[in-house]
Amino acid sequence: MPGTYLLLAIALIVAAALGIAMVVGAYVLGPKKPSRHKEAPYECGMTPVGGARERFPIRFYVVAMLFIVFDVETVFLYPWAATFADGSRAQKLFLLGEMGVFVAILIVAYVYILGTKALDWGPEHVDGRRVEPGVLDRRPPIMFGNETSNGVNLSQTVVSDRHSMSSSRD
Amino acid sequence: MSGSSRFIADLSALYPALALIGASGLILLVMPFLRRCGGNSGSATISGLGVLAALALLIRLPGEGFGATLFAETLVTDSLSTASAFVLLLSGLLAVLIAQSYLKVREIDEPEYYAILLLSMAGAYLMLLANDLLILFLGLELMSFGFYAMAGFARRDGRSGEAALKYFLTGAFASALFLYGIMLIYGVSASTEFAKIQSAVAHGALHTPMGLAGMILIIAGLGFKVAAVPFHQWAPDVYEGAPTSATAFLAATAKIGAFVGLIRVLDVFAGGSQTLIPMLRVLAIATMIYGNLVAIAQTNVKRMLGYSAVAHAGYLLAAMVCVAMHYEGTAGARTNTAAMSASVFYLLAYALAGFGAFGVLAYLSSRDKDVQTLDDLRGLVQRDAPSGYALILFMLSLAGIPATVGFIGKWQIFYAVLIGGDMTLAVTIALTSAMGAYYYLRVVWYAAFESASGPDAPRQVGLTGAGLTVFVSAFATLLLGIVPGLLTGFLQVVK
Amino acid sequence: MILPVPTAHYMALSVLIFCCGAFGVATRRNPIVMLMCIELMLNAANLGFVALGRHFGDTGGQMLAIFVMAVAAGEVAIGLAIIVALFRTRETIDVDRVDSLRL
Repeated sequence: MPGTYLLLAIALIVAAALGIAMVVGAYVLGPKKPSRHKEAPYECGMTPVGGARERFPIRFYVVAMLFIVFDVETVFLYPWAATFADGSRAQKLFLLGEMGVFVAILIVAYVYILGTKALDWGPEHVDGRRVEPGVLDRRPPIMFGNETSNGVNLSQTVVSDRHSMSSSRD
Repeated sequence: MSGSSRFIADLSALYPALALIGASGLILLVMPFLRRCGGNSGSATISGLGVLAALALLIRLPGEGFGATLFAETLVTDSLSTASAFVLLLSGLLAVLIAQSYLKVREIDEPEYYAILLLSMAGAYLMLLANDLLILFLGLELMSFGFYAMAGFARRDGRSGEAALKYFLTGAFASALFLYGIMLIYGVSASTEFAKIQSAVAHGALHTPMGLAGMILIIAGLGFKVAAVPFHQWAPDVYEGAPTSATAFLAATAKIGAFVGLIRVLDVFAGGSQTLIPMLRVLAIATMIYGNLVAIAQTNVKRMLGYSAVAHAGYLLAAMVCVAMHYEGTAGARTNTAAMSASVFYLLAYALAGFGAFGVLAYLSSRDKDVQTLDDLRGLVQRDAPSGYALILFMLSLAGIPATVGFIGKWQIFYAVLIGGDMTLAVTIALTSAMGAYYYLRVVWYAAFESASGPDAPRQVGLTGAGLTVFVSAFATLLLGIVPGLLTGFLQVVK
Repeated sequence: MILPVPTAHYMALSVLIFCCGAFGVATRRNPIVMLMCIELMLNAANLGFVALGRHFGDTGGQMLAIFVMAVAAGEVAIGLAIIVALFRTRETIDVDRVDSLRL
């Protein structure tokens, strides 16, 4: 029995040591030339357009909630499939019917979701006017920076920054 | 009989639940259509018909199948399940009626309310038939999910959302306790079936720490759902904040589901542990005293009824003590069945009085005025005699005054406790009932003898759903209070 | 030689996780964190079900866990829906500041 935990402990130690070694190694060995742009949050190589802690449109939450529920329902397919494999022909027919009922209930919920337009993402039309969804709303500029820089508004200084980057080297 | 034909035969016990779920699904499917032409009355009609169909299917259930276990021992149909299902569906009908007019005048025009109400009832129905801890858990959750959502339906009223959040957090916590208790009991009996747990209990499973902890957690989880002290904190907030129609529904249904579940669980645990009866006794006495004591200080009627619900949970817990008593021979069985029958009858009496009282509040409410304080009821008898007298009747029934159904219910519990030989409990019931009479009679005083403070807010007139609820409840409260024999036979629980 | 982890150890871990969850519900004030703690309690029960099911050689334990997972997902969905709805009217979800009803 102790052997079980010994293996587990070894795996944990190796994993932890490897992770720590990589970070520490990079820190010790790597050359450091900090600049304002390098220290800005990484956003897929693009210039950041806002802070990471901001409010998301409610639709994200709605879709996330619906996803969780429908996702977890599929877990019932596994025990059903395990039972289905061992059944006789008549039993299989019966089990198929049962799964049909199960799926039908899910479809009722799905039809309801479609009916309430919970999954509609496109622009809405209010009084005949096209209204862009909240994701694309313009937000107030967010100031970036740390203790050393004076704070720079990246969302407004994009053009001039690019210009200065190409002309002068930091 | 082959598996599938056995399945079809067993399914008949679930027809009432299927009718409820079917009506719920129908409402969801035709939702866009319902919304276009006044969602409220259309969905109220569908759900009312669904509940009526469920009642008809329940009454048509074949009688010879009593005590039969279904679906591989997971469900049972016996006199307890049938009698309590009758009470449940009756209160479901009143819940639909009360919602029809309350949601209309308060402009909460959401057909989803009815769909959720029906699903919640289906969950409670499942609890009544449970013969397996897993089924009991699933029914409890299905029922509670509906309650959480319904408590938050008045979205313009911030208190409603707050009530929903509080109810959800405490309810989900209670469910987690209940589930963990199930896991521990599974650990000592290797099964969640009641019959197998019972045989494990007979072999001393509850004497192990694991079994004892499991038992305590299961009782605590159900205690949360019925608002037993010390698990009662959510009750007054939720009763006050939830829309009146939802309050009426969850007050009755949560008690029916959770207490029948408790009866089944205690029936299994009876005699297995020395701590069981003292624990239940402390719960019952604390709940009776606390609920009645704090209710005295309330000026909001909904909140007062919330504490009163705690007190009534205490009386029912007193009956649970007798259910948990375990004697050899016929005398013990007599105590047990007397307590079970008394509980079912008491649940009916409580549901009628509760729906009636909340029905009066809903009936008096209008678009701009949600009636819920004592001041709102000032001089009600002069302003609107029928609803005033009905309110007085319901208060007397809740207080347990003779000639109302509440008296019969309380007397039955008192009688069961007496033949169980528990004098402390009997004395507590008598004393706390006298205490409770004070705050119920204060409502009567405000309605009958104070003069109205101002002119009435304009409200819906004519026969509304809430008016019908009040009428039906008042009629049944009086009729069963004078001739209880009409239903005592039907609600009798036999073993 | 390697022997399987004894059931008692799983149970000890399960109790530990359950207590963490219960403690979190009692002390934390953010409903979303409280919801996470409740999920922790449910999953502690799940761990127990699966471990005990293996101990008894009973697939029923795993079935119980699957049902609990489905219930937990429903619970999360309802909880988040209530929190979102409340946030729309209140602009705060701190339970200590949600107190217009007396506690």
